[in-house]
Amino acid sequence: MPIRRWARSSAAVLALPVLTAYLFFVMSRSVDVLEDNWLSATVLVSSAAVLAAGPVCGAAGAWEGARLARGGVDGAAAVRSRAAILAWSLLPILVAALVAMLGGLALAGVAMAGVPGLPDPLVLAVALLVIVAWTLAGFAAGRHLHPLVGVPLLLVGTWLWLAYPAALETFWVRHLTGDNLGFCCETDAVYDQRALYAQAVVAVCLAGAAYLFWSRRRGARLAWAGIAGLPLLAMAVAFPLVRDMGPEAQVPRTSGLACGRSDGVEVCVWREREKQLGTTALIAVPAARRLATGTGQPAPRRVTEGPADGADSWRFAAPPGARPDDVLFGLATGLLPAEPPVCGPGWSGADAYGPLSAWLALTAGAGQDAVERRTGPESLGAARRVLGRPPAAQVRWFRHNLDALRRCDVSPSEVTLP
Amino acid sequence: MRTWLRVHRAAQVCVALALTAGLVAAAGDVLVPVPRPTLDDLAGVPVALVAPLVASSVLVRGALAGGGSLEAVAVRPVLAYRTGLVALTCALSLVMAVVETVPYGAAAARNLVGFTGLAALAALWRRDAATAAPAAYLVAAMLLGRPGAGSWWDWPVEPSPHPATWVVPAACLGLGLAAPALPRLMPRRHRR
Repeated sequence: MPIRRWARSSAAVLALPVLTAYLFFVMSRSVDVLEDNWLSATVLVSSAAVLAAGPVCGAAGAWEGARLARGGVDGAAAVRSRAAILAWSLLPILVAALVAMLGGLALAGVAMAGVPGLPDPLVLAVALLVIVAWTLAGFAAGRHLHPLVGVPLLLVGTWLWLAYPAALETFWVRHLTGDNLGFCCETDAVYDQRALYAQAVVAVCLAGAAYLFWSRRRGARLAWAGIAGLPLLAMAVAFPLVRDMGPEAQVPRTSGLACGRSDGVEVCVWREREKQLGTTALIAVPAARRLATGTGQPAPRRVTEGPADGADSWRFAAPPGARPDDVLFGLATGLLPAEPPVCGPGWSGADAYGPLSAWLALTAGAGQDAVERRTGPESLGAARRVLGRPPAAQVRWFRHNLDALRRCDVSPSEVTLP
Repeated sequence: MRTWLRVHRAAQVCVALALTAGLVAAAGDVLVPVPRPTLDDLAGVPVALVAPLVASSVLVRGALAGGGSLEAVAVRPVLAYRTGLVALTCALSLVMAVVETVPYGAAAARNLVGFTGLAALAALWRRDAATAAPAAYLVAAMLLGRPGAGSWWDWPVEPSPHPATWVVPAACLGLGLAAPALPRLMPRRHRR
């Protein structure tokens, strides 16, 4: 068949504008709030592409599958393999999905202008795999279902599978779909590869089962065994990967730092923020020294946006647009425990968090207005009262209340105004 | 008549209607998240409003099944049969919504009427793609509609069965069922 006629007769001609409009609609709400890293942009594009192209390509597959069935592919004498027949019908739909995805990448590229890095090819590849799987599922359904039923069934069914798990309290289901909730990751986190592998496994097994279902011949027991076995295999492999995962598929980032030295202290920022390294060091290093003096701790040898132990290395964050007070506040509160201890009811240690944060931020050099905005006037008042004392008394107050935040048997002291 | 019912998949239509009613009763109020233009605007569409699309598709498939050329020359009033099948099923869904008072039951019945009406209208243009029209309309309403805002057009995602939300679905069904019959009601010209 001539190429133009072949392309024009495909359902992809109708699918392309629909899924492109859908993709840009899904992306438009999030592209302005992207993090300053390419992974977040890649996940947004892949998520929007899967959510838009999955149902539409599934429906287009159901249409094309029904066309092939109507054309008598099952019963006619074979001049080419079934895989080749399927590929020629599948190709225009996948090209449409790819074009839409590239458009999404171009939009993300504009939003990420100036941010070093590239889209994550693995995330995009898994998204394409998911789209292929649902398109093949559409072909399999189209072999037996009339388009009047197959097209809406695939459109709504695929959309439900992709969108509904986000509303479930059972978190592992959402990591299998490929939708990825449209968001991952902040710059200090990376995508949890377990979710990616699980999605790939589910997509490959779905694609395999769908292909077997579409291409099986009458009485082919091996094909039926595959159709029944592949979903079980998918669950057996994918479920253990995502079983223990939380609501979001991200884990702390450990690599990709750009470091420099300032006044004897090593300062590290994420490589995406390397241009701000000098400015950040001028804020963070003196603040770290003030904090070390104020809290009676040894000065850190390293202040970093990456992993830190709280002793030799301290953690801070300097995202784009952050003001000096924000950087100081992050550095100061980085000295506090990230999570409260597991105590029974009646634990009052949390009352110390606000005053301690305010005192640390003021000690680091943050402005009073910024501290008040973040901790509230009561915490600021308590912190200012403590700051009026001799340094040794301040250190005692800090250590006691730090203990109250870490332990269940210590109560906070002087954290409220009289 | 039995042959006509078998050809037009009346049993499948009944099963689809019963399954949809069961789904609406069991899990109709489950909200499925939908994307919105802003991140702050979190919204969901109840399953009860989406499920009737499948029942409507099965109904339209049944109504449009059968050999077109054979039925065109049939002695029996097959167009009336077809209109009756669709109208009866829609009426049955309304009765079920009234009798079985479940959340979103009336809205689900309204959507069945509306989806079927849209498909009936689309079938005037192209029969084998008729159900793509309500599916596309549903997706557009989910993305752009504002439930509760009182718009006349986003009835597929309006959970309230307010009378104003019935106007478009009822009009679509009425037009969709009446349009194929109109040429037969016109006075015939005699060829010379």
